[in-house]
Amino acid sequence: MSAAQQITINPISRLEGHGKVVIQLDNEGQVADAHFHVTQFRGYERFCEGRPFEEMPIITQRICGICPVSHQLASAKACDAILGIDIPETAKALRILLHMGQYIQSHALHFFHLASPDLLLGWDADPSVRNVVGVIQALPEVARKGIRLRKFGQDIIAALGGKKVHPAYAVPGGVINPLAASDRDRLMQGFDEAYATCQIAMDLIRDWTVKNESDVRRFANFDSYYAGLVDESGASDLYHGTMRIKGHDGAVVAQFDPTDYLDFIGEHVEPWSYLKFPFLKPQGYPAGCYRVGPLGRLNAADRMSTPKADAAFRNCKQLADKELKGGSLLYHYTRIIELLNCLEKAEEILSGESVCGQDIRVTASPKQEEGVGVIEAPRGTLIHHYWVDEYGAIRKVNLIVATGHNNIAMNRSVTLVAKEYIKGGQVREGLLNRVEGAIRCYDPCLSCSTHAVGQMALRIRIHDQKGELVRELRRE
Amino acid sequence: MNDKEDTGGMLWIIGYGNVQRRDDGAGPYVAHWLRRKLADRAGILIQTPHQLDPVLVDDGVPPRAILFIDATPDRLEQGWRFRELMPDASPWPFALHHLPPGMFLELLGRYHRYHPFAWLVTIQGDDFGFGGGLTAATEERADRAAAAIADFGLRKIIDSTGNING
Repeated sequence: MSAAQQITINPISRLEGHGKVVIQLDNEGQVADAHFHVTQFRGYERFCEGRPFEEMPIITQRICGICPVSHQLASAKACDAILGIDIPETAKALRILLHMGQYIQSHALHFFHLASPDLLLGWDADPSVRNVVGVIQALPEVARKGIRLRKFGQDIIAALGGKKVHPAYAVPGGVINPLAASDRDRLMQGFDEAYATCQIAMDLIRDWTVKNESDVRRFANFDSYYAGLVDESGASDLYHGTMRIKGHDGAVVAQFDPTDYLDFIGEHVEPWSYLKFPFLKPQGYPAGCYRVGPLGRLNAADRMSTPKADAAFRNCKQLADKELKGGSLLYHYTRIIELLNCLEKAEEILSGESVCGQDIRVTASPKQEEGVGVIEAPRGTLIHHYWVDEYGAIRKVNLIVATGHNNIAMNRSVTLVAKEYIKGGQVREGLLNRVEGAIRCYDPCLSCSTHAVGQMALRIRIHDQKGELVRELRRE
Repeated sequence: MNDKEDTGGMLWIIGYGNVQRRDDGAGPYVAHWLRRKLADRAGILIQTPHQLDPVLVDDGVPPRAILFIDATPDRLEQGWRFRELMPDASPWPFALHHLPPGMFLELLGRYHRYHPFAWLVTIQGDDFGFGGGLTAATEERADRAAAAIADFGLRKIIDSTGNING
């Protein structure tokens, strides 16, 4: 084998969608560079052109089978802006409840199904057991409770939108159905178990982080900016609020109305990826690397909006302040704090007097030729921006999704981990899984789920300096 | 294989696929057909998810038997196929939310601590592009498969498990 090699991991296992990693080695077999490629092209921004704007919440949720609710809500908010209206308070509460259901199912999916096999079974565990089946074998009750917690989040979505995936619920001006009192009462019965399961996850991830502090410190730990929506008190706000950017030193470098995002965020294009590289305009590309999602949000916020999550946030901060706040593995910990926050928020909404109210929608004609909807999706800030003509037909669409915001950071993480764990050209599955694991921290959603036919295998392809394939490893 | 006696004789029928990808909706199509046919039968749970989500293992009373119905782009001699399915414990595919039926069966077995009997009906599809409704050829195959399942397949399942209600 030539000393100068290229290692390709394609596709990455346990990510939502399609991606591959190419690691370029130099003549000594050391990592020279690494790229995280996104090879899918969806074209939603183009084929939505000409559609009536009110169809957008239904069309755009089909971008994804894991976070359709996030797209539907961001889209509905953009449509509200085109209508120039404020939706009724009950409708807002029900949209947030739907959002919390989405977070609960998505964060539970990531922690218990995707991340926990690495954390609980070990990076070097046999790949045939390093999945949720393996977790069931090793820790049966934990795995079972994780599945049930995800189901609880899906139950919230189904109670509102009629089905677990791709619900029809948020529309321009509000939502389409009130919440039935019987559904509210049924959902309220699920919180005791959900809190207990969340606490198990919290204990697991905190203990793991403390025990593996040196790994967390070394693993894709780097300075960046952090971004997320916050409310007036500086608490992380997952549905609305102002966009805050903090530096690694904790100083606020920008805080703005998220509809003004174009003044602060630019999008760089690289020829080797369909995924753009958003960056902070004042800092430029790639210095303006910022992170969104749980770690980005919690590093940008001053507090959490609910008491139990706020206590957990302060516990986490004590650890993070020990030079861990840029550690990509801290995503897992912050994700569980958000899970707790969402359970508390969902319970608070369901306990409200007006949650079953009938005032759930207003109708209006388009008043604006432009509308921006911004929410915090589970994986990070999600921006839907529409321009319409005088008849309400879509003229132009701009979507910036969470995985895009994190693109520079994911590439940086892959490079750092590859340099740390792959030396002298030596290739072991466990080491490559760490590269995958670095990306998995961000829980990227590469626009996914409903389009794969058949089973995708893990392939590792090693090329020499001339591009000739010299070795291929497959995990069927 | 099946060592659990207290499942209440439940049969799950899971016709899965994306109904907005034309012939990928053959599984749900057949499941809906069977739902109409078996509306008055107790002990049968019919579901039509667009994928085999791991969360489905926790849905309803644990089954004594499962019938999966799926579409395939592969050419099949009769246009559809019926075969017994075994749990598959091989390493998982990268898209965890999208489990092949054998792996779903393995997960379900681990989850409930027993493995139900299982069969897989596969229906040949021609068009998996965007759009609703089956192509005419796939609809004809799906109708044949549904009729055969109702006439023969369910009897075979009920006979082999011996305890399906109704």
